[in-house]
Amino acid sequence: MADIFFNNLFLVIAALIMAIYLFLGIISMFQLIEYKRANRYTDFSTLLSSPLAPGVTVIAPAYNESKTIVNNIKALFTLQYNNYEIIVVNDGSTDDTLDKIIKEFDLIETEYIAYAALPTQPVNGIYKSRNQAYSFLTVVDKQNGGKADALNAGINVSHFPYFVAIDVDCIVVPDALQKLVKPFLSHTDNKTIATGGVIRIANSCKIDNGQVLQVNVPDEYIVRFQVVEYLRAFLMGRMAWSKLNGLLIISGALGMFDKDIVVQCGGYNVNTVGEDMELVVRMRRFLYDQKIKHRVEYIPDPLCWTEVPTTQDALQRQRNRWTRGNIDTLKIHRKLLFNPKYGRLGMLGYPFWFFFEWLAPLFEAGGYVFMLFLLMTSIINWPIFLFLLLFVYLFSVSFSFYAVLFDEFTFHRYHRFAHLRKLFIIPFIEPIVYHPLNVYWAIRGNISFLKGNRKWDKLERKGFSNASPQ
Amino acid sequence: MLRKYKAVAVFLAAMILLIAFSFIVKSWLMQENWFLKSSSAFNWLHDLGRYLMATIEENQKQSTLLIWLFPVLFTALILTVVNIVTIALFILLRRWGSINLWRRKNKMRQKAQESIVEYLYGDSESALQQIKQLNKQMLVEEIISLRKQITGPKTEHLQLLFYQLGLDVFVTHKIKSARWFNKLLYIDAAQWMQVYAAFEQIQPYQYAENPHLRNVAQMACVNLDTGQAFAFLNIMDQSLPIWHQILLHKTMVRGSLPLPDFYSFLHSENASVIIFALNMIRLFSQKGPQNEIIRLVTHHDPMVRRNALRVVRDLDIYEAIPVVKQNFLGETLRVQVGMIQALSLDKPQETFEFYRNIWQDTPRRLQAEILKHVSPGLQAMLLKDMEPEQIEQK
Repeated sequence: MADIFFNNLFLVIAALIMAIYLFLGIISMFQLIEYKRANRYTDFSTLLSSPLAPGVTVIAPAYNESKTIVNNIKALFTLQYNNYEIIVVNDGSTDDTLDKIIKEFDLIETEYIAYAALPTQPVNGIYKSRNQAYSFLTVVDKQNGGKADALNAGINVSHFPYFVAIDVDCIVVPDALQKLVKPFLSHTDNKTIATGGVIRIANSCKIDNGQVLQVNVPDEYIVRFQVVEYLRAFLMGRMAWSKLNGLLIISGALGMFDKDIVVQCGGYNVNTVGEDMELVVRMRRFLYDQKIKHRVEYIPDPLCWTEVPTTQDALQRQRNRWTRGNIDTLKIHRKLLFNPKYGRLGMLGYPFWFFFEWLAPLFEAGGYVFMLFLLMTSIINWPIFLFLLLFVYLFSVSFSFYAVLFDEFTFHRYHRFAHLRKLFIIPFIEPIVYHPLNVYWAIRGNISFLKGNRKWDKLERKGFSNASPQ
Repeated sequence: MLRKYKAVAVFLAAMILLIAFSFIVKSWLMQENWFLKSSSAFNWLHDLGRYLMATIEENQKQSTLLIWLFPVLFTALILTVVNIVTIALFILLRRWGSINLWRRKNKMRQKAQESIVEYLYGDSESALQQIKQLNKQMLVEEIISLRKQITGPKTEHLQLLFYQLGLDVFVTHKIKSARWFNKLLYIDAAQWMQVYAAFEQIQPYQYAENPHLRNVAQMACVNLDTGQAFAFLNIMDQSLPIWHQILLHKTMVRGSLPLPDFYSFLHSENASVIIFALNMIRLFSQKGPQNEIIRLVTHHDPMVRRNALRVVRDLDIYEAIPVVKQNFLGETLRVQVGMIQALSLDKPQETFEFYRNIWQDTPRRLQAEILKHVSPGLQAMLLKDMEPEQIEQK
């Protein structure tokens, strides 16, 4: 009897998961089409000359980035916006990160006014350049407190009503600020509180002076898996949740926020490794409590290029951290689960994240154990088992193919036939090789969380200067 | 309704189709001899399906759920395989097709651009004959694209070309297109090329539900209506987002259009219209009855109050200062920041007295804002009043 019960349970849940993913895929498709049509003739550069365009602060925390910091800051100078400032927060680096910035940009310590009072580790000093060409650059030197703490310090000294939190080692496309700020200006009935853009993978791309000159599909399979994974996550998942207004996360690599609301909510939470997700959930919860209509929006344009882990160990540590951050946020805001007071966030977004992002890998692992049990007790019906396995496998393959198709129809970044050849192979291998690893890392993340691990595990990057074109 | 929930509609349709197909597949599997049995292409699939179905039904231990779901799963499996193959082929063919199409289009565009340049700077007559043979939609796109990039007398030549090609009639006709994104292109073209004949058709779209269409129509009407260009503001129910305000402002500046009396919109019931009017009054430094602005400093909408305060500051409306001081303490933080900026108009000694009275009850953000807007002398005096630990924090 028990095996029939479990058979039915796994069958129903698998069917449900597939139906939900199919539904999200359809929503994403419509959302992408609408975005492309609506912005076909939009001249974002209008913001460059308009006196009505709001000011934006770019906050980039840096910790032991000595090798690349100067080039990374120079890359930020390529951003095109008429009224913006860049705040680099040196989060107690133990190398010569600060010295290099001071020397390169001719900085001197200056007096400052803290506009917000978010608690942070002590600030050692605020630096501005003597060179007028860098007048929009501010460097905050503070004692080490982690990424969230560094971002809070940046918010405290920022001048403008909106801020963009970025990873200093990411490559942000020049018109990213124009595209990120537009949703804040386009809605009046629903207040936009945060926007994010699609993150793309820069490994193997040809990069010069902070600009992606040539997009390539990496040779390493571990990176290629992530290329398809990112396409799926951003073009299919987050676009759909953006349309449903159920987004719980804006990627820490690039996101724009309404500063006043962030300050009212108490800024970034320094006690979690998932500070990006936690902030968005807290902001939304705060606005639902205040009964203020709001939205969090995702832009399908590839606005940011980042380097992803190239080794299994590094990737495992990254996924472990993501899992811990996810659980932490879900735990902190557990009151949201199926709580109608929190609208779509409580009834759709949070439950999806709870069941599909946190519990699904655990459930899947349970499925593997159940399968082993059936094998060991020899009560497995091989033809049916193989049929169901094939079905799930092919569904997964087709879902990845849809992600590639969406990219092809929208932004078309992988434009060579060689790119296609590389991308087409991945969906067939990924469910067998990469997906089980992801499940394993998620389980390890759960165990780490239970053990009380709160470490950030900073990702070691090769740096873009080493990235070679194909 | 269907438009709003089209994703749900498509999903439900897909599910219904899947179930319908699964019935067909089930009946196909149940027939031992089916009508295409002689063509063996699908025999193996038929046999496989029959075998699996029989295995499930024979195995008493299997759940009835699986027996019931099998035809659906089997159909979905077939459709998934078809999907994968179709997508892969589609992408590849599209690549081939798009490369060829791109080459062809590029060639045509190049030809169009060369002919337009020839028309503007060379032999107009022969160039015109060449241009007439080209695709009209592409010509509209090319001419508008060029028009957006150039200024000076050549813009009139370009406009003349547009009319000589009969594109004004084409554009006016195409505004009726059923697709909203096509309307966008043609309304924009009518606006840039001053196609006054299109005004009547564009006018209703000023109140369209689609914000993109509404915005482009409003810009076009501002450009094309020589009488009551901003009349739509009087009867508009929808809000006017900042993005639309930015584009309307740009349209006015670009076309050097005569400015309406923006003070007349300050009594609107639509707060976004008042904000737009205040922004325009401020940016164009339009003079008018100051009491209208002062009245809005106490408007019920905080966004209106903030924008009114900006006008007070930029147009030096000293008369508003007492009202600002009187309402300061009960205000929201964002409006208070605007008030501090407006109070920079006041006499230093009076400002100092005012700030000193409220200093201790003022949050840090405001204190910082105050310090930013007072002279260094007053700054030192205010800091002298602060508690020592507060100074350290700053």
